[in-house]
Amino acid sequence: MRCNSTKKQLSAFIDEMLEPVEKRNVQEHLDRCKECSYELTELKNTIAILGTMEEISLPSNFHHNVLAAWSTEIKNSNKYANIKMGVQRRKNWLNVGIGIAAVAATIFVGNNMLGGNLAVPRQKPSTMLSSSESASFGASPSIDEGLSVPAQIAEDKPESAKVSEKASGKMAELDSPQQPAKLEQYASDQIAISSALPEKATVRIENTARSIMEKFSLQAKDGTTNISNVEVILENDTVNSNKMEEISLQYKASIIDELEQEIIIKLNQNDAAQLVDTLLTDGNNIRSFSYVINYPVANTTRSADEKENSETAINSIILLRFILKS
Amino acid sequence: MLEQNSYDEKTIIDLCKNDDLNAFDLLLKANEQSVYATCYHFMGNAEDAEDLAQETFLKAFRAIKMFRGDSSFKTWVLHIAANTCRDELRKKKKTKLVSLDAPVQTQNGEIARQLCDNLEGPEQELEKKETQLIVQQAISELNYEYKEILILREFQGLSYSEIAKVLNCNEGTVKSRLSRARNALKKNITSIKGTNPSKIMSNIMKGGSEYEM
Repeated sequence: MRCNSTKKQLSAFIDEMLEPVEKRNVQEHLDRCKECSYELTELKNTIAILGTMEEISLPSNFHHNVLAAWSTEIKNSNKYANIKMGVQRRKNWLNVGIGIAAVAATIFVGNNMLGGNLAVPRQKPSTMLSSSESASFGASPSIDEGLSVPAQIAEDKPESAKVSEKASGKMAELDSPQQPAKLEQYASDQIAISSALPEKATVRIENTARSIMEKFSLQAKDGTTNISNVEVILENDTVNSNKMEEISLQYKASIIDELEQEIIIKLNQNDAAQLVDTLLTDGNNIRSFSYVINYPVANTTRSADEKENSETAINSIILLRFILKS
Repeated sequence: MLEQNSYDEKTIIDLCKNDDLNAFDLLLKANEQSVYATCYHFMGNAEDAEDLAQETFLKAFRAIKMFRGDSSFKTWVLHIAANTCRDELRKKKKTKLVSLDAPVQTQNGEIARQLCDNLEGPEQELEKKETQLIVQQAISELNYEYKEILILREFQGLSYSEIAKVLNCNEGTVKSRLSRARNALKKNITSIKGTNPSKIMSNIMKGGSEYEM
């Protein structure tokens, strides 16, 4: 056995990870080769030095901090469940009949909001605004092909609101288990099934959205409060995904007389929690609301750079739905 | 792994999947030392280690429902820790420069970097402390792959098959990469300290009495 191949096996030899034959060969070589024996000692001592390293002591508040951060997250998702129950109870005694169609408004804040996570805003908001070809929302191909989705820009709000006409047909099946993908599908489904809204409702939604943005100082990551891109969507169907289905059902229940809106905002966790607290205590024009926080799941198929970008672009997605007082 | 209680890991994780905070508490307690130390060895300073270890746990907890128990939780969470640290190191790589006389960041504050030791007859403790700094520096100068495998093997004491799981590779790769990593570390220690590992080790063992030889 040669020195070179022996040296390559010394590490595994130390760990007793060689096959019996290999081990015997190495041992035999070591018995007659001074240089390799010396190498073995050096390597053993290198490992031994690592063993003398003091154990890294955990910062005293580490355990507490992690647990506190985590319990906040859990609490927030439980709050959602409670609020949802509240909404369900409330609708039982609601008077029915004002007749404004229930709408979901998906408001896209700023340019980089949601990055490429949603199929819909893949087109840059600016493109969506100015382009007269915006008939297609850039929804996922299956939807584009299966259902023609003519959209029109609400005439009184050419720069800010777009209303897509109702599309017929069945919605695409959701098959991705991951939340962001669901959300993406959800958003495109919303558009696919959306209807043209009465002009009045469009204006109202936009104004309300704007005032809520201002009231709670909601900001996009880039610091803008630009909410000029308002997607107005009429929801009239359920979405084929567990979580979203729940929301849709809840939605449907109040479809008759409530103006319901949905805002998708990119917020970091703390801001999201704070927003929810503020809304709970100070939502003067809001009858009730519900929310879901979606944590983006790391997409391992993306390149490192894309991953980095998306990580900086989205801290978390909060899906907020509220019902306005009439 | 969860020594202080009678539940096995699977039970704990099932409870976690139902958002049981006590179960998360136990899971955290059983793994926080390993995860923090791993992050510390990757990053070389306490501040980054704390941030990244926390991030690691939050990532793991959020994804706990997807944990199928194919490996131990420890192996799984260390995998997440390694990836989290790798991403962070990539981000830092672009800006990081190690100056030869910049102070070394340790748990106990800053210590002046020593390239070569001129102390005569150092006490055992001092020798040990200094060795610690040298080793940390020697590790931090390794490439990511070597650093990773050494941390898993030497500090976390994982077996070859566990390492293979964390790194998503086969045991043959573990064997050869570990060998190369150890040799690279040996080389780094030797060049930083100016003496070979055997001398350093006997120094530690004998309180420096052989240092003058």
